[in-house]
Amino acid sequence: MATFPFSAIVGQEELKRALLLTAVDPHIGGVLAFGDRGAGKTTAIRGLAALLPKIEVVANCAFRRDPKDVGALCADCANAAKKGDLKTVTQAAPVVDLPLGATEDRVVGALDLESALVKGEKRFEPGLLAAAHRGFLYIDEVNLLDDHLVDVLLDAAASGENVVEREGLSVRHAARFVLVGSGNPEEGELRPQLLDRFGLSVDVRTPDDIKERLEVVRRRDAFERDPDGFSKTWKRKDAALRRKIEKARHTLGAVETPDGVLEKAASLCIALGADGLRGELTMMRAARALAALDGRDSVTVKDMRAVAPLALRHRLRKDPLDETDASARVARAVDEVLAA
Amino acid sequence: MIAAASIPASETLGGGEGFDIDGIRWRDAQLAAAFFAVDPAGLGGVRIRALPGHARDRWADYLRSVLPEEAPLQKLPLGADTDRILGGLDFAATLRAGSPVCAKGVLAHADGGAVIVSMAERLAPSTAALIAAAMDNGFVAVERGGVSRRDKTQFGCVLFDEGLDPSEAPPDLLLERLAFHIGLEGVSVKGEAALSTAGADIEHARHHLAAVTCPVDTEEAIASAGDSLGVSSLRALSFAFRTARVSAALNRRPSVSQEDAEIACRLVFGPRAAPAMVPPESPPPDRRDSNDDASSPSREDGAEKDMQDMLVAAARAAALGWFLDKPSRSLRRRGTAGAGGKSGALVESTWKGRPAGARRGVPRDGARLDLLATLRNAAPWRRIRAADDRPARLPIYKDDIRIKRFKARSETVVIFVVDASGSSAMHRMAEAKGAVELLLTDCYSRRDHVALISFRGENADLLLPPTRSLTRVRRTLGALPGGGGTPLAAGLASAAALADSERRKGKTPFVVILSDGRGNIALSGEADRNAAEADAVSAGKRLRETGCAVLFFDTGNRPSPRARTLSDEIGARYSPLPYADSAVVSNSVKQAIAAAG
Repeated sequence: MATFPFSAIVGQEELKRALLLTAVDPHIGGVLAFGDRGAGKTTAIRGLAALLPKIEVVANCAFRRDPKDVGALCADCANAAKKGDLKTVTQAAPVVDLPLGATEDRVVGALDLESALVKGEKRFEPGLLAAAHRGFLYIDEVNLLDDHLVDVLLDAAASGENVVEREGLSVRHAARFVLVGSGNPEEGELRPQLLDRFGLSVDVRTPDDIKERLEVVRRRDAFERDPDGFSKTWKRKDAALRRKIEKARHTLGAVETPDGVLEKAASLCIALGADGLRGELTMMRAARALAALDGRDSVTVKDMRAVAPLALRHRLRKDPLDETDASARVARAVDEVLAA
Repeated sequence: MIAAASIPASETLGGGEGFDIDGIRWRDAQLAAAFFAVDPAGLGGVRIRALPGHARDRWADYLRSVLPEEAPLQKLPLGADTDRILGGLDFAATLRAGSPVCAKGVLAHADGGAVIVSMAERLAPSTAALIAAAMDNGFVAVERGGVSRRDKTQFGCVLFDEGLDPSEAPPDLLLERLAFHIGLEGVSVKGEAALSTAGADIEHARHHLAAVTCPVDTEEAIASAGDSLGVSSLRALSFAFRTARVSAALNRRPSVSQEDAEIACRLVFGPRAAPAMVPPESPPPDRRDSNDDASSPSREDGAEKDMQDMLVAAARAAALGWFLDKPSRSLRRRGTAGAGGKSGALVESTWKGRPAGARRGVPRDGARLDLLATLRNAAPWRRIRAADDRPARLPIYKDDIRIKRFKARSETVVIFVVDASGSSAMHRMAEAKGAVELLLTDCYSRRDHVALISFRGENADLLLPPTRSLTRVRRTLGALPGGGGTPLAAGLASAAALADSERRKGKTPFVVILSDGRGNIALSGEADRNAAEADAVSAGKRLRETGCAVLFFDTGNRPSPRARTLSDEIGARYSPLPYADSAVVSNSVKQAIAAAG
């Protein structure tokens, strides 16, 4: 089934930027897209799949292991790698949906039902965490997810691996993924623990400019009438964007962050009273990714300005008595501290 | 013929006798059904707000008659568990066959047709989200109990919403995905159907819909109309375009006409219009003239502005109908025993039975064993385990054991009942607000739901139905006006009704009253102090009967024996609102909730 092309999305610049940044540097952490219904959150995330650079994996490996990461290979594969005859394949980076209603066994993996029933064999069937390894894991309506599933996800996201000890199986495999969640705050707010796990957060608003609104709906309509034809017209732009991401990934390591810029970022976090160091770290990484995406080799204050709201708005201490919304608070502090 | 689809009400309804609001609403309902029948998945669905009755039955019959015969209508029972909704392993068949057999769920079976939900106001948001996800994706994603599959499905939803007050409505996330919201409550359907749409018309429209175009200026006029009505959702705009095209297709037009646009705006934007954008004094839709004008060529270069105005007017009229139709906002409704066959016990059992699911765990610390789920989990592994157990038995390992999850236990609804009357408000309103805000901080950290009832003047209002959204509570509280009489009895009655309905939903209500206990407005709305006090006591008793924990903060200048007595009648914990010491307030609530929990 064709997905709506990322580059055809009208507006939503912040959301698009956040997704692109995490595509360049997955270490930034996940993206939380909270806001108005029907503004195109899901569309953007699905569209991202086509932009992700392909990954190299060990052939026939259920865990999508990286052939370059020799330490993580299983015994057989490590031997093959030593001899230099490890087979690898290139495949699309996964963007896995975690559907609501998913059960824990399918998320973490469990005994393979088919072989248990038919052959009476114990075989591990990898779950969604394994499927999302080295890619993105997307949860729509993340605030409606069962609490016990949230715990499982947090655990895996924090440790980068999935440990299964059940039904007489003992399996441990890497599960490094970018967690992307979307939802509407009116359905209920997220637990602070979960909030903090997302590197960036985006406040999604429906555009109120009539021209823009019309354009959104028209493109959507054009896509629905002829998904393949529509995708074809945007293929070039998507491909250009993908090359940009690939290039940024390569140059990311060489991007420098001047001390002066770092200091400013630190004072911004202090001014906002953002909890912990995670905010600063995320801001730095995101700013670096932004510079790389723009083809520059040094981070500027302008980069920091651009990523500060993304990295900080969900980390402000929750004060239920404060009427101002977090985005406004960050914007004010950015204007004061990061005056260009 | 479908001609009726675009003909203004007065023509189809036998003109001369004047304005017939029932007729118009009934015709709109039929239009919605006909449009929906043409493109169920594209239009998302129809919400019918009405109690069960003749009108609703007639509408359902009509829908069936216009839908193609092969289109399935799948009923989704409220209590259906996730396995039934999404599909999953068919355990009986699996055990019989000895290899995994999957069963499709209700959503997959509805492919090409519609899912029907009765009493949709009771649909849990988590269930609604499952439906919404399938609608968005065009498939059902099953990742459950060892099964991973996708079933392609395209369907629309028909929600029968029997909600009586604003707190009872289907979840927004699903409503948003339905093009049409129709109020049928109290509509009497007489004689022949206003609209006679033949299956052939629907069939024709289905085939030609894709080719229908929409002039650019019409699109722009529709978008502007939506904008000036305060309809912000992009889905609504999309639905309006699609509805206009469906209407054109039904009328065998190659392109959307102004009439189509008008119908679309009326049906889609009307019920979504922001109340502030709909002047309450605007007259009923008596706008025959505009339609005459529309067909006259003099309008040719006229301008999109005219068309937009007309579209707005059409939608406004419908909006007004929708708002007027809303059943009374006051919570001071029926007695505690439910009306309409929803007897307490029956509803209670449905909700207790609402599957909160089972999870892996050991039955201790009050967790209860879910025997069925445990057996179901153990069953497939029988063959593997037979090796180290006697084969005739079903071996159950610790990993199989499932415990029941009760939403009811974990979800507390804190209902604040705030006295905003003159007597209280003048002196200590600000402090009462301060105390509530402080309590909200605690509620937030405990993940409680919070509802806000305020009483002043002549009655009590449910300002905020139970929500977890702190933002909304804060906003509402900030805007809370003060002054007027003290309809304490109405406040207590509202609290009792809400506590009762929340309990039936399986939640644990907890009521916090902030008042000086000096009621002076009786339930009847009269300013009679004696009657007011008697009413307050009897309403208080009703609150007591709900069995939920109540905390009474006396907001009077000094603790009054009257408030104390009333608090005792309610069975509440009484505490004078301490001056400027909010920590005490917070602590007493914490203790009280702990004691109640």
